[in-house]
Amino acid sequence: MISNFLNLFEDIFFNEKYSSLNFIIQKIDPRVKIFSSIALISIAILAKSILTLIILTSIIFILSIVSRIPLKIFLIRTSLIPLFTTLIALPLIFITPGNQILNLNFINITTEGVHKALIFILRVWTCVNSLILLTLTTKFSNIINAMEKLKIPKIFTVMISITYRFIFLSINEAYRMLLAKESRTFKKESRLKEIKTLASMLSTLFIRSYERGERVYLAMMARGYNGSVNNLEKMSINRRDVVFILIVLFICIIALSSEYFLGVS
Amino acid sequence: MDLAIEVKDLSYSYPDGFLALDRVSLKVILNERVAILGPNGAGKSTLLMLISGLLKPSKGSIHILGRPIDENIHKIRSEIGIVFQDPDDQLFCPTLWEDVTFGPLNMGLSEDEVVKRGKEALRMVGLDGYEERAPHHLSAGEKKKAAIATVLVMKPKILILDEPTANLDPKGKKELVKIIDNLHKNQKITLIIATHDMDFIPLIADRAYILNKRIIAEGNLEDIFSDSDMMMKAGLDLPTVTRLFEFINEFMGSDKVKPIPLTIEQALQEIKRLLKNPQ
Repeated sequence: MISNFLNLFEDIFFNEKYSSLNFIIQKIDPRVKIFSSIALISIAILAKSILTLIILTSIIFILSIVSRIPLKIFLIRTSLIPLFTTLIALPLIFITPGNQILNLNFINITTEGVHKALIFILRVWTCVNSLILLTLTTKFSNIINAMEKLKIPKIFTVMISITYRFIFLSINEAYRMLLAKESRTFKKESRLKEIKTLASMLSTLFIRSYERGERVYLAMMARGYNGSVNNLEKMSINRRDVVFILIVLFICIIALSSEYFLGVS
Repeated sequence: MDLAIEVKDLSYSYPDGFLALDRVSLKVILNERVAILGPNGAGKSTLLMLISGLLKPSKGSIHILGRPIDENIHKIRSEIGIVFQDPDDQLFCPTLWEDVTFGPLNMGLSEDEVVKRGKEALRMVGLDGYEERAPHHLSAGEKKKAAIATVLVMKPKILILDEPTANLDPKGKKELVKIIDNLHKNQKITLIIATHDMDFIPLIADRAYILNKRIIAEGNLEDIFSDSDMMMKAGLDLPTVTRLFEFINEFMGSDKVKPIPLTIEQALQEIKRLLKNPQ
């Protein structure tokens, strides 16, 4: 059961098979993609109307469809974080003052509240969509390289790349520990006992990760690590990239100007 | 006789005061193949990390290629390559190619040279075409070979292998022996191999140190393996073939077969000889 879940987890969140396809978005330079993602996210944060956000999200969805990413995979990946956002945004419906839609003795639901919550959720969803499209269509190593080329400090890129590399290992380690526990569990345990065991397993996992970190650092030292990681990857921007970035900028400008000058809401 | 490694009166205690190595001394000559044998927890890994300059000794001195290790640590790190027991500790990049080029790029080599060496190292371990693979998708045997490639690419003069056969299947072991053989014969690399895989030792080493916090014994494999009491006391054993021929000797009256064979090939010769003239 656990193993199925872990496989599914890896398949859904870390599968790189769509990044090695060769369709429109996959062909674009990773730096351009990172820049475009950041631009779209900025617009999503600045946007004040539901319409703009829906249009932005639809554009991202269209891009993912033309990149031949199955809609189901895309939706599963992008909806996990907005689920939590919904929980966070839920109180907004009740605490925002304004036009009451529903009025029970102690609960008020207002139009403004619903509007605020919707915008909040949509905003997060658009941002997540944009980032998921980036990670789905780009090999992870290429994202790291692009970040380095964009002069993001090495300390961040090295940290991200090592984290990514060892996520799988930690998942496997946790899985093996769970199996080891299961194999020695002979009767149904009380919830409290189970939680206690899990907690101690977590602490063991933490110590193991810490010790592995030490060993990895030694391995890096043994190969002459001195704080900087160098890289051979070459990237080039061609006409397709330029056209793509112009389109993205155009969308951003339209969205911004319609929000702030034309007063669409 | 140029010394590759000279360790004198080396002691090491862990931060919690636990004494891991006690006055260890050893010498390794250039282009020699030396095995360090010892049971679990004997301090093999600690000794290897000290030799490659990753840990600082509590007492004693280490000389690599005639130079003290503490002064020349960065120069020495490119001359001495260490392959860790767990390849997952050694492969820390998203793709194999980045892992392979990590060391030479840190050495400040030119791009052409790095690419050339990277391809060559992957070819030497039989992993050409694996450049873009992610380390976590490799099998245990491939991971081990990849870890060796990440070290070979720096063209070390001394190669240290910590428990290289751990977790390998028979095919993986055979390939490993081939790789090690090639490195020793064609690249003239000095090899230090820590292991307790007794059948594996005669295939990859000429001389051995028995370590259990202290150096218990030292010598050619034939001499070391002829003292089976000492080996048992140290928590080790003889290679299967050697153990078998000990029984044959006992059965046929002592010292009929001398020297005692260590590998299957040697044993085969010996059996043929015995069959031809039983007396």
